[in-house]
Amino acid sequence: MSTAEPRSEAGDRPHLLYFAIGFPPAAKSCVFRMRETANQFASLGWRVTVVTIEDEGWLGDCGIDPTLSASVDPRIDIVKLPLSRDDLETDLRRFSRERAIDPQLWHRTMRERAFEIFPDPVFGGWRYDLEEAALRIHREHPVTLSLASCVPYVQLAALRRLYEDCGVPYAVDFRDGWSIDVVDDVEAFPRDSEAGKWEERVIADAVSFWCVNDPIAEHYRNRYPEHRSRIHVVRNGYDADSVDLPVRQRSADEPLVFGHLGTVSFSVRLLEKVLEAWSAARARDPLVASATLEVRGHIGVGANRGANKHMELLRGAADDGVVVGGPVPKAEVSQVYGGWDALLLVILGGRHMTSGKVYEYMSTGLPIVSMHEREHDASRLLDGHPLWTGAHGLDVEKLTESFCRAAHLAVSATDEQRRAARAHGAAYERGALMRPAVRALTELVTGAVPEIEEKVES
Amino acid sequence: MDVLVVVGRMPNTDTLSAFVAELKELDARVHLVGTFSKHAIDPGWGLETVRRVATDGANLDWRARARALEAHPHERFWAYVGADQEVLRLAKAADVIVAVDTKAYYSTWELARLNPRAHACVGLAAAQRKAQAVRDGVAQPPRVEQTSGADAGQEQRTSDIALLLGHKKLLSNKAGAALARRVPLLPMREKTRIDMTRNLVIGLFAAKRNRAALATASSVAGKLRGTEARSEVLRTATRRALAQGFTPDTLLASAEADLAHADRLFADRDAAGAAEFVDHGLHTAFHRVAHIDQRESPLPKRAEEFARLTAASTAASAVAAGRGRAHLVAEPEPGRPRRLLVVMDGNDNFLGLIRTYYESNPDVELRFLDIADYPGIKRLAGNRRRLMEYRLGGDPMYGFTAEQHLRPHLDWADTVFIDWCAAAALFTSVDPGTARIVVRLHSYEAFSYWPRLTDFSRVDDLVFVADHIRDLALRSVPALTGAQAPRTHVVGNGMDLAGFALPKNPDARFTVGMVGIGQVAKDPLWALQVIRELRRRDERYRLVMIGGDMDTKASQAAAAYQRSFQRKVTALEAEGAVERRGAITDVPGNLRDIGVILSSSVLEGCHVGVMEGAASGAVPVVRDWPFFSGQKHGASTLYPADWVVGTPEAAADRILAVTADEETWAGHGRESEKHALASWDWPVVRGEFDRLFGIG
Repeated sequence: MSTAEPRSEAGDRPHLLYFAIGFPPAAKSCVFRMRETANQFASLGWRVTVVTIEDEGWLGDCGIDPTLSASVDPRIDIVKLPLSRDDLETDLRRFSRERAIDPQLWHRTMRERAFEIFPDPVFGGWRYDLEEAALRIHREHPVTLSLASCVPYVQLAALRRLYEDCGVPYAVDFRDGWSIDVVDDVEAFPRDSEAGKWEERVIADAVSFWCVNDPIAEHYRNRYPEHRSRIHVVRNGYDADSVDLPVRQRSADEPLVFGHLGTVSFSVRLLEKVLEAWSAARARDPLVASATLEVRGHIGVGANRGANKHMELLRGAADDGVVVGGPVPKAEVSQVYGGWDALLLVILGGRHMTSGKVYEYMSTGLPIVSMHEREHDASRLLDGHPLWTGAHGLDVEKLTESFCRAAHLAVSATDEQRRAARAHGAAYERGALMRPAVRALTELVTGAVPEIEEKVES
Repeated sequence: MDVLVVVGRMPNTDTLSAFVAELKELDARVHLVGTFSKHAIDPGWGLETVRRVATDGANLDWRARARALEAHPHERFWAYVGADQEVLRLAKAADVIVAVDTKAYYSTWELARLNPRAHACVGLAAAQRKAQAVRDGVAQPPRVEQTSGADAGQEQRTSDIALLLGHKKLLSNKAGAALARRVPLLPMREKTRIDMTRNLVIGLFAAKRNRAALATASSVAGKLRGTEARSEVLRTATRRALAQGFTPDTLLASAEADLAHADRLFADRDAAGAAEFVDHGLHTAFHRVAHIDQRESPLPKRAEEFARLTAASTAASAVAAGRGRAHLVAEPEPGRPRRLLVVMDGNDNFLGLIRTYYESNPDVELRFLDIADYPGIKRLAGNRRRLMEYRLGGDPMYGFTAEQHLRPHLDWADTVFIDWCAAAALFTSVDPGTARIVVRLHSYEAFSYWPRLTDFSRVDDLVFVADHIRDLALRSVPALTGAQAPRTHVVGNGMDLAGFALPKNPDARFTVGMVGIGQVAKDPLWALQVIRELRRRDERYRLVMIGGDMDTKASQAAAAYQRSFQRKVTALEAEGAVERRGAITDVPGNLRDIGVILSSSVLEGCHVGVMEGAASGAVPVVRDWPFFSGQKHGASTLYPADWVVGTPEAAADRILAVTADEETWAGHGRESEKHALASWDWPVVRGEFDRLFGIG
């Protein structure tokens, strides 16, 4: 059975309702996976409706990057709901008197109320709006498959509602999972908790269930062995246009530039350690002493984004050659990488955490300095990369050595080593990684084996 | 464009100056109002206005002032801000009004109501974005409607009579104060009595009638029927006294009242409520002002009373109740090294030698778990309210999460060595499995609530750094005696003293030194008395003080001590009698200048500075630490008795005697060095750790 364009039972194009809160132009790290997912379904002939929130809702959170929307398939319908995180509100005129007086009490109460609606203390309150949106869209254009990319988990409520009320099958792109805390590497909640019951119910009826790496998939296979056949790993990857690097012509006496790209959302303590190691490396090695460390991306999230303790520390390190350069529009990412000689990779978590950034870093072919646990999914990916200085946990001395080593790699790596470094990351192109999963899901739901459109036509 | 910045707390100056610079690039005039240190504001930033709002209530009438005092702190701040005409004028003219911190939210919210044209936001980052939008002409107009909200407190408001009872004019007069103190003892409704007492107590403190305030709280508490009311009245007075920097007589009575209410809630199966009041009670009883930031603490003299305080409370007892362990401690399987897990919380000051020693020992597989590096564990360890609630039968997620975080570590380890008791409270919340749990309790912690939150039935061995600390802990922590109590040991901190024996510099004989002056417990004022007495007899002597200053933000008590010290030391520095070197990294090098090492402390575990000084060949002179003076163990049992003195005069006598001439001084120095190396050097102490951990 093979057709170029899958058809739903009614004979029309199948309709994917994709809950993807974080879709472009939100400047979130999940945005690339969401965009790729929607584009690939569209390229296989699906009618795709994306549900996200209004752009304004991101302004107080992660911000927006309008350039991200340019590569969204124009055939995709995007429904933006007027939802926003009340807890990130910065307009004082929207505050109640009680909130203005005692913001902590207000937060606590808000979280408790949200949790009563859905077991997510931040987003639980969005449940009914999402459910209504799902039903409305289904009424207007019957949905063949609904899919949610989590977080926020409250999107699952909309899938369930559509399934229970209208029998619409659903799949879940759980990415980092729910019952596993990938930052602390522990089980997040027991099966008999509210969240546990929701998760179990959702997985029991999902036609497919994706997550981003093997350790997370393994967690779910162990937790729900009866559903293991529907649990799939769909890794993140790099976007080819981000690493289309111009070849940097670096003269011998030109100072090195180390770079960190991405939101600085890790802990203050971790940042302190990084800066301490950087400073120590400068004192130890003349190559690092003359180098700069460019930090690009948002500094923190939320109301005090850019005006927080992280920023204080970074500004305080200016004498050590630390430069804060602000966020980078997606369209300029490649150019930014092209100006750097080595990369700094700081990631939280352990063996259940990958971070999408690692794929992009690997594909640049530049030396990489890691500041993360040894036992980390990023380590598994980086293992064998010829210009990686290794993972040594959160040890300042070891990170100091890594900075020095990376500096020397940056000036001494042979062309062959650089080619090998690029080749190491080349296998992880996002589109290629996602394609089999989207095709399999299409086949599963529509019964058709889709053909691939090589190019998205606009 | 005018931007009004409202701050309730001193903001970070780097962040603020960067914000002002960004705003000035937008041609904005920036006005700063609120509470902050004027000295920290650099005129070079180019602020248009710097207006510090008076927060003493001087510009309010008596009623408004009294209401402000009993209001939520953020409403109180608005009472002061809203009474400042200059601030109101600026608010009415502003285009953007920004609250920098939560204390300023409400004031800014009210200011925004005065000027519907202005944008109002929280956070400098949001203000910067808003100002940019205004400058670019793309800002949406401010929302017209602003939720006014009901004044929830209106019906519950305190009567004017109750407010009047706290009036300064009334209470500054002796007869007026006496009269006012009788009022809350008259027959009346319980709520009225509480309101009156609260205002009266606050007023009496403001009128500097501290003893009267405390006595009033005590006598009214005796007339109150409800446990919560008693707890509130006593806590209001007791905490205010502590905030002012002194230990009130009501300390234990207040904690007892909190625990009594906790017991009632616990009996009603309200675990969260009971945890809240156990927390109140322990926080009061072991408040740092009472035990750490003054030169005396009630704990050593009344240890048994503190033990009874928690033992008599069903809720506090349940928090520390022994749950025991499900399995016996298991020895490692043959053929593999012993797995030793060392746990700390951001402080590895006393672990360096342990790390290097066991890292190089092939019989040991060593892991360090620094809780500060694990946000999930850190959150659990720092949330004592949730820990207590879990121990009292609530918050099952706390137990689940603790189990998730700790089980892999406990499963891996044969022995877990937990340095500092705060981490022990968390670790003993879960069953240890077959791992042996060893906890080291430092002197500071004996005076804190942490041992009262630890399940010692799950601790196999408890290590103290000195006998007198063990004595105090055993007397004051009920769980350390009885059938489920752990074995106790005294093991020195472990110091590498070999490198301290360097040749002394020429003036060392007449140089008295002390290392560490950053806590009240070090009592450097006593050292000043010694040097004064010494110089009265021989002007060649001088005092060198090494270490950073005290953290004056810790409490009023610490700040008051530092002020007093600063006043006295400045004069002595001017005459060359004292030299302060601040924090240094090369201790052995600095000790070359020091011929006599002084301990002036009121409280120490083992005083590392003295031990290092002795190892350098400086002659020790140790005050008989008053917290333990006259008890079975103390400075004179930890050190040779002839090192220990009772008074500054005796200290001067000993210094003059041991430095009488070069030969005498050198002889005493050699003896000190010999004693230090034989008693406390790492090669001596490490064997005790081996035995403790079952290694070798």
